[in-house]
Amino acid sequence: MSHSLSTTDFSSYPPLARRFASDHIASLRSLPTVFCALLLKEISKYDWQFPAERNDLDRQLKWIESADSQAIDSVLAPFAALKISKGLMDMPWAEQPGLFIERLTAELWITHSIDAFYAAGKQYGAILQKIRSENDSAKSRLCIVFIGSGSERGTKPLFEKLQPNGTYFSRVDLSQGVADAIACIRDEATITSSPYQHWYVDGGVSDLHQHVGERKDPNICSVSYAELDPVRKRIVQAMNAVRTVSGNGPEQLRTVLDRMRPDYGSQAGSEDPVMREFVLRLFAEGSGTQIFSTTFVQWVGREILRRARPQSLFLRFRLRRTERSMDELLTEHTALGVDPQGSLVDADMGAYYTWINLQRLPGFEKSRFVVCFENGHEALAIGPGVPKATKSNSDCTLKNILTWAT
Amino acid sequence: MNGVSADMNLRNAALQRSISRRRFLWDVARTTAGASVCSFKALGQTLRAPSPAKKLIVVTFGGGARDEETFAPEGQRFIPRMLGELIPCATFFTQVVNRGILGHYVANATLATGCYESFDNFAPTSPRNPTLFEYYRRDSAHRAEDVWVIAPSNGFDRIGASNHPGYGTSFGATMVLPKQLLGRFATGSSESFDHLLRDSYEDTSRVSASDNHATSLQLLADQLKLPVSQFLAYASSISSPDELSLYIAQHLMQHLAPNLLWITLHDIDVAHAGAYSLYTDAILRTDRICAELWKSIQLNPEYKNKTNMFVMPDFGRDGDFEPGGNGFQHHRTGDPLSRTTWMLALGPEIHENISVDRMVESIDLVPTLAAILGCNASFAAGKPLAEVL
Repeated sequence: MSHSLSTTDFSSYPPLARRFASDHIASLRSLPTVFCALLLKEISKYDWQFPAERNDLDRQLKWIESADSQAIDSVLAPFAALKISKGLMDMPWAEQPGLFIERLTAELWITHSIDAFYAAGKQYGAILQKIRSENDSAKSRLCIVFIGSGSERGTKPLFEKLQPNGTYFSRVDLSQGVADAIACIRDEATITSSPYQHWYVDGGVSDLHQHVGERKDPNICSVSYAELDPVRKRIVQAMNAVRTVSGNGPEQLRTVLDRMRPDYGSQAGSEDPVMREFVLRLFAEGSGTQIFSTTFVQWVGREILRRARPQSLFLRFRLRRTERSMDELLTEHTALGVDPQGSLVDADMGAYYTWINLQRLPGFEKSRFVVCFENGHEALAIGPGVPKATKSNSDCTLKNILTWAT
Repeated sequence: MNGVSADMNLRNAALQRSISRRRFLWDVARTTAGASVCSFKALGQTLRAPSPAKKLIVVTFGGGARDEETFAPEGQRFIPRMLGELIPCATFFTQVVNRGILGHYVANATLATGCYESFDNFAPTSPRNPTLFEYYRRDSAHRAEDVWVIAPSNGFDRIGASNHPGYGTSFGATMVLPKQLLGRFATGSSESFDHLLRDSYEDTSRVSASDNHATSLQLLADQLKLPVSQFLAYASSISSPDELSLYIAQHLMQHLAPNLLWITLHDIDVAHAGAYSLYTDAILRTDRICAELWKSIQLNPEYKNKTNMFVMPDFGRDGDFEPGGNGFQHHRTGDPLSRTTWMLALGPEIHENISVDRMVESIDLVPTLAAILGCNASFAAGKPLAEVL
């Protein structure tokens, strides 16, 4: 299927995206409209994407340009078969692919075609995963998660969902746990120092400078809830401005948030538009990230793994505020307490989801995952060197566990 | 993969849920028989009440919970009262599939009409097809006071009547939105009720109440015979909006004893904020509220032995391993787990301790309830569930 795509359709894209789309216009013209719009939605963000995402786009286009037509047709035919209304097709879908996809999704739900769309996406996702594996499979990643800072242990079991997949350690000396974890990430960063490959995420005030001895380690991307508070507040204010206007609904809110550009995500010390856009999207697209630090850390971990596909990642959950009404949480007129037990439960589940997200990356079978209860002596490790569904009562440190898990 | 194979995928997932829930029921049958509060019999045996039920209470969840947090072994700690008090008395449908739009208002409208409604979930729209309330009132000449809907948020305030020609508001339910009542009567109060007044967990924009409700809250309170000071005192003692809905439901049962009461619970949808502990706390609370409603039925002579109760989430939530979602937090992927849920039916005309494993659909609820109530749901697309008729 072909359509009259023109380079002028890309005129509102940022420079690198415009050039990328123009360079591949012949290939893009050959794609079914819905699939082409999906791809253009990604291409339109090219300037603010991580290297891994740009590589994905390069490889996808290469696959489209080099694979045999039968293979391509079989994957893209379900997209071409979707019945789309003329009104929607008349939209300037190439100029505004994000808006088009949003309206397309609404229409697919209404016409009961969302399952077919979902199935088509899943089939293409398998192809994409294969393309990634062929290029990324050599990586052996490291992911460390700390939960329970400020929380009492309680009686509920920890790491319950992860236990069948790894080894539980009951006597871990975590007195230097945070320092050990940061040291491990730094060690990894000296081995491969590619951009956006090593991350430290803190649900409170970052401790990184205490352990690094300087404000920023150039090889480690650092994100903390406290540091991003000005960005969070700016976005919350923008959300409030939209939600309090009578007649405005979620579509208006999404449109406003979608139009925000990286400057909105500016933070002290970061001039990098890629990081600014990343930070902006954490609050503009994440649900609950504006309210709860536990949700924030889990979502940031998910987005780093999904988008940057890092070599190493250290997530540190902290206490979240207590639950209050949406109005109170968004307007922040009242002083809010913290919920230590709820924070621990949230973080425990967040660790499980981080492991699931790590599993989706190429080379997972070689990766190491360790979760520690920061306020105690328990940890759980998953990796090629540790058995599944096993318990260890040996005295050890985080460094020991990471060595054993290799 | 085309639409047919997507449907097979959905059927397979629903079947897996069914097997898991059936296994769970066998476990429950072994462990809770002695503690059952109803006349519990062995699986396969049935019990019929001597007199037919005349009243109906429907509890829907506008924000479902997954098996992992309910019927799976690790989830059973969150539904102790359903396990101990409701399941042994109920016919349990283990695979109920919702093929419609997975938004809570539109999905609950689907439950109320028996047709897959397809309007914008966040728009102030009435259902296109007649609701159960309209069928019941038109066919049986019942008054509006006989049919009540307790809705969780402003976004639901048009669920009581469709815009279908021949039906509509003159046959609709009497709507009560407890938060609106609280908002009206809490004005000027020194106490803050903000934590009970949240409107939606999914949509942060403020949805306005329709003019109709905004101007008639005092009349509604009078009709409810609601003691305002007692209502406010109760509100100051609770932590969630659904507890407020329970209070209104029990008050209605006590003072007006309507024949048909439909209540939608919403607390579980706090999951959208991504805090797992708040989500599981809400499931525990919802479990308690369902059990309290059933207990209220048993303690009220107007309802005891005359009432059937149906409990049903509108749909599920995304699976943990679904890459397009974020696990329990949302229901956006349309994956089979988010489309598959369950239903409990209890009452003197309902078989006890039975599980129904065949796949049924959300739209089957209205034809079933219409058959029980003796009215004709002529526009409903679903099929009556013979197992409870």
